[in-house]
Parts: sequence; structure tokens; C-alpha cells
Amino acid sequence: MIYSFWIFDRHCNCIYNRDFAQHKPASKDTVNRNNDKDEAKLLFGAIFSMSRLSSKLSDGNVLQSFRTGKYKAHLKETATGLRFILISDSNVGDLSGLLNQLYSDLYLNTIVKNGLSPVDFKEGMVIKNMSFINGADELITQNGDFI
Amino acid sequence: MKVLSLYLLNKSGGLIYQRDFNPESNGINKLSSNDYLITAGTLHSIHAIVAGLTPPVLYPIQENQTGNQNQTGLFQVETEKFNLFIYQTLTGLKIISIVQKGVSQETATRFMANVHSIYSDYVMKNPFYTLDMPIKCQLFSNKVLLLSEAS
Repeated sequence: MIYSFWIFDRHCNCIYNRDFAQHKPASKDTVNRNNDKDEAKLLFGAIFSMSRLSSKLSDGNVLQSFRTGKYKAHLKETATGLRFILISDSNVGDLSGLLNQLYSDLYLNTIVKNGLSPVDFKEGMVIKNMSFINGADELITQNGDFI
Repeated sequence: MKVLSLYLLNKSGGLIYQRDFNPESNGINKLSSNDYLITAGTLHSIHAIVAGLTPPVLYPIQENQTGNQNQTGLFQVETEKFNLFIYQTLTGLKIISIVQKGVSQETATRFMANVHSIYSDYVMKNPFYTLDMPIKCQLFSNKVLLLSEAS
């Protein structure tokens, strides 16, 4: 089960958030609802400190995921400082393939190569592009770990 | 299994024991003593923060997030070069081990449970040890080293 999907830009702002837990993906009312909530800030803070910690303990080390008794968070950090995060059940295996797909197949094509979307997201800006939202939903819901 | 480092944190997040095993070859950087304290404090607070981030569908409404964090707190951090496991005992002592990739969760948990029993035997039963203070018991260190080599 995948519970939510988050993207943070290099200014630490949440630019995309999608919640799958309560509503089935058909409804679009859980897109970008939690971007400014404390939950987003805490999640970013935890991921940020863990990345710092892992690179401090071993040079060039990259954080991949963390797990609690209840859930697991998978992380991909791109060279441009974007962070892609998927929250899933704690027994789900490696989701780095899906994260790579979301970045290289979807984000690059619909956001980076899109002339109408900003090069750099300003504070308060979020991804509203429907082809990205639909594409992300499709990739995530078609994944074997999404139930 | 190969254990790279071991940390023991008291219930308020203070570092009471830190040890790197085979420090010259295990790939873990040697930090300053201040950095070890920061590392311990960071892990202690992240442990509590991520418990509060549990997706709401996963816990019943009446169960508040400040409850028993042995179930909801941080358990494993997976990085490219190593895995970090956190084991919190009922008294709030945190045993943190950094292990090589590929070591299973069961093996790591067993190792930390064994560290806990060594701690009970050689630290808690030591009349000269003050609770929550840094552990300076030679016997404890020896046993931990033996355990890390055996497991």
C-alpha cells in the first residue's frame, strides 16, 4: 500500500503532494492539500537531518529510505536538489525504480521540458499541471505495491 | 554479520556509549566527540518526529501519538553504504547499531537485544555506575566486542 507522494524543491518548499490513503485516486481533491501543513515541514526536516547524518558518517553516502514499525518512506534526491518521497507500508520493498520513473520519465517531460512551467518554483507555488498529476497517479497506482 | 558502530542513548537522548568496530577499515568516518553527541541527539529527536508522521489511516483515533513509541518510532534508516537500526527498550534506553548492507532485520535486532542483556548484566548491576551517565565499564566493553565478533 502506498499512502502518499511528496516532492520538495531545493528551497525546501513542498511543490507537490498527493494523498492516496483516504480517497481512491479517482478524486483529485487530495492533490496539494498538505503542502503548507506541519506534516510537510516535519517530513522534510526528518529527511533532511537523516541525509545530513548519513553523509557525515560516511563520505558520499546517500539516504535511501527509513522505516518505522508502521510505515516506510522512500527517498530520491536529484542532482538539482529536488527530493521525491513516497510513503508506503513498512513491509514494502525497494521503490527506487518507481521514484526514478517519476523523475526521469514524468517530471522531466512534463515540468522541466514544459515551457509554461517555471524554472524555479517560488514560495507558495505548486505543481498544477494536469498531465503531471495524471501521469503520477498512473505510475503509482499501476505499481505492484499499490493496492 | 558485520557491525560497524554501536551507540547507546539514555532516555533523554544523551550519548552514554559509542564505539566503532574496526575503525580503520569499516568506511565509517571518525567524528569529533561533539559530533557524536549531535548524531545521538538528532537520532533521538527524529525517532519521535517520524512517529508523529504516521499516516492517519494506520492508527485508531483514540490512540495518541505520544504513546508507546517502540511500535511507532524510527526503526531502520537505509542508506547506500550502510543500514542503521534503532532498538528502544521498555525503559527508554536506545540501542543504535550501524551495520553493513545485507544484514537482515532479525540479525540486527538479535544483536541489539544481546547488547541490552549485556548492558543489564555489566552496567546496571555495577554498583559504581550512575544511571544515565556515560558508561565506563571495561567489562561491558569487552563483552560488546566479543559479541560483535561472534555475531
